Amino acid sequence: MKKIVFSLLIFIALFIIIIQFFQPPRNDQSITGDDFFMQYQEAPAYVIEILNKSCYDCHSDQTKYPWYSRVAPVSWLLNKHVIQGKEELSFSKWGSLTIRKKLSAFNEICEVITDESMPMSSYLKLHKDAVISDHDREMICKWIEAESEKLFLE
Amino acid sequence: MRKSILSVILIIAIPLWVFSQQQLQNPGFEEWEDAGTVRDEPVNWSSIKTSDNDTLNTPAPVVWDISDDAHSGNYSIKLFNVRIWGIMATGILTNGIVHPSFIPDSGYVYTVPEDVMVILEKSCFDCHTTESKKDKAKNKLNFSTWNELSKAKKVGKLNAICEEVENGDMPTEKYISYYPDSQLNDEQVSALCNWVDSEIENLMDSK
Repeated sequence: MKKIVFSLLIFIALFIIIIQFFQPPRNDQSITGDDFFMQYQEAPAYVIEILNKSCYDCHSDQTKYPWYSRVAPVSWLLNKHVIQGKEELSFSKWGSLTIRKKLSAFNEICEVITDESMPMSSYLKLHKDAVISDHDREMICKWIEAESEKLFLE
Repeated sequence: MRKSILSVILIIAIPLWVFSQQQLQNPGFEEWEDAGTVRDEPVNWSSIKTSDNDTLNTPAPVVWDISDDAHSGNYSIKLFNVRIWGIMATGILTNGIVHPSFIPDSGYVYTVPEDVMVILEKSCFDCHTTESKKDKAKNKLNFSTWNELSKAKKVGKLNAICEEVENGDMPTEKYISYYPDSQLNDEQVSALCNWVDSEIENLMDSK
């Protein structure tokens, strides 16, 4: 009996060690890129701050990886979220979007933070400072609206 | 022999069917709706009286009149230009919808093609209109209050309509399970997206 438990433990330990060799690709945050949001949109400091702490981790190549992001299987889960996030909207690709796509993205940003579907609750559990306050929400939506008008008239 | 006759018939019939154009409804202005009221208009025709811009429907000048000087039937339409506040309002009646504006350059006429209207009614309006009980859907997109949106917002939302439908995110799976008819096929998706494209183009041109 003891033997079985022992070998099972060994097996689990080996398994955990082996999966560490399968590391998903990571975003390289040293490169900002020409299409990055900030190169196109002049944003006030409070907007930049919120984007930094609540959005960029999944919606850009500027991911700030926590230590546990290197540990499989957390790394896989994290990578999946980043890929999905960037697919939906990548601030690193902002410059490559057409005006209608930018307007659409702007509109959606305000929508998802207003109905609180973003930032995701699982993300907020690990990033307490990513919570967007009601006041910030309002400020962002106001800024987005003004910026959308400008974009449209461009 | 019979086969060749059939194929000849098909060769003639199919192009006739494919290239046939939909006939204009009420072409002779014989049928009228809301007759005798300020909003009277020929059935299936629209003018500024019933435009999508409520604030301008009443103050806008009348630029057409019913006439009995008809080529055939009882009625015809007389169009004329009116000068108001230094701006020339042209006589216009359309089987689309008029979007008037205080800025003359920003006015335009548009149509929601029938195939698109069918899609919107069948797959979208249940949740995305004021009558809906689904607050989340309504907050995101409400066709009933569409004209209260800024042009920039309209463009953004139109683009999202096409994207959501193209990705198969809308109508939601749950809705489709209740109303299987609401599922859109590829043809309907592209009809909707084509309409979105032309609407966005109109909006961009009118800035």
